[in-house]
Amino acid sequence: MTHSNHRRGDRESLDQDYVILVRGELIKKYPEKARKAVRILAKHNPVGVITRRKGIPIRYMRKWDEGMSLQKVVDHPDPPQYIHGVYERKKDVQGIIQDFADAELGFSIVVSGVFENTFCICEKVGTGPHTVNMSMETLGRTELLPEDKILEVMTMCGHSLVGEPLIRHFINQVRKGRITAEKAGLELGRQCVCNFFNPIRAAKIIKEYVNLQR
Amino acid sequence: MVCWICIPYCPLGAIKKIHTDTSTTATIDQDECVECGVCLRSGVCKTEAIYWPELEWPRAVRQAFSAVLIGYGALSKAGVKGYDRPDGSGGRGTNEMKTNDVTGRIKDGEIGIAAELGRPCQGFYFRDLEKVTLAMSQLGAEFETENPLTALLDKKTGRIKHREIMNERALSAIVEMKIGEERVIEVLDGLKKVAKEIDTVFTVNIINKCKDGSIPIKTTLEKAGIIVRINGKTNIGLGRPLVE
Repeated sequence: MTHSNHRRGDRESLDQDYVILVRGELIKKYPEKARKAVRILAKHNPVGVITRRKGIPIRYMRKWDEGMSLQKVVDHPDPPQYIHGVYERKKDVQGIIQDFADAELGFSIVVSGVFENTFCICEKVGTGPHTVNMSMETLGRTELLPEDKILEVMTMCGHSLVGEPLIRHFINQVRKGRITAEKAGLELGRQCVCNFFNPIRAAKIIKEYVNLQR
Repeated sequence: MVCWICIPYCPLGAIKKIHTDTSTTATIDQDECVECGVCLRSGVCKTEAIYWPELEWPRAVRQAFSAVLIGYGALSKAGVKGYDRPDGSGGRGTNEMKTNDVTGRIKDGEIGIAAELGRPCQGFYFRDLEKVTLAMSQLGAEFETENPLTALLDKKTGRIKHREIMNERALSAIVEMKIGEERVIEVLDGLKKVAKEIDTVFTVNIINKCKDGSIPIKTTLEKAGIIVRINGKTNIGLGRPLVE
């Protein structure tokens, strides 16, 4: 499963986009440690946090009024599994990695983001890096792919649940002044059931795209 | 009532307007639809015009490889053996490098390679997927047993055993293999070659165990002129073995 691996964008944009995954068989075995992992993710200004409880996704997205609050995700009574968080600042990610290193929970921690940033954090915290998964070329009929800005939004849901038609639809809505870019980002993010989508970054990209077309 | 509000929600554009002399309605193109359920789950249809019927095999394979939260129950229901995570907890692929600090799946000197069929957001037909699995098999792939796709394959040849799914379509599938690092350029060249024969896209991943804070295979890739993106996933080595 590599659905946070191929996020497109330039360095400046990707510097504001991180996904942290907490993994391992120990999560099922030690629910209290798993709860602590969720608390660590929640402590450092997440854009989004998700856990699965008894198979059901329990998710928070910042400023998503119709969704669940961060506190409710943390306090959910069922044992958490599939624990992920999305972040926009390197210093928050560093804080999380430091907390995980200090807590010695034993779970595998994966950071999806710009390698240089992640390796720098590892050096400061005094851990890994252990193994990388590098995103390479897209091959085949690449002429079918949309332009870069659309791809940057699209690839934030690696399962392809946020498609080109919906992204273009919301760009048009923003251009016509019917909704804000922030609201468009949240509505796009709502479709990404793994909650890997970064609606804050999406809103910035949509604004850039709309401004480019003016 | 016809509102067309659902049309953009389909990631592959399979919901279409149908014009007649007297009216315009919306319909789901059943060949293009991959049964991902995004339109239904979005909740935008207020008239219950969208519904999900019980799917029969082989069409159910579309749902298994497209609907993220549905899982792979359709495979076992159809008698496909060899995949025991019907709840979908394994996702499209496996834990690959995410738990490598505990499992040691990818060792020093080994490379994990994956081809993600249909990504980003194009979908694929199983007939195209087979072209890739056949090519990867000829390149010496050992198909990952924990990957749901492998249950559909003859592991020796990469041929899809269930021929009835060849014209079915899905959102994405991940073909995973492991090789020695000395073969990485040869395998990437093989993937580039087969990419010219398919009617969709796939995106390639390379997994490598780090050494002394760096990525050993990166120099080989850069020397060969292969593009490596600046971002990706890093297992930071905090996992510990399964102990009481």
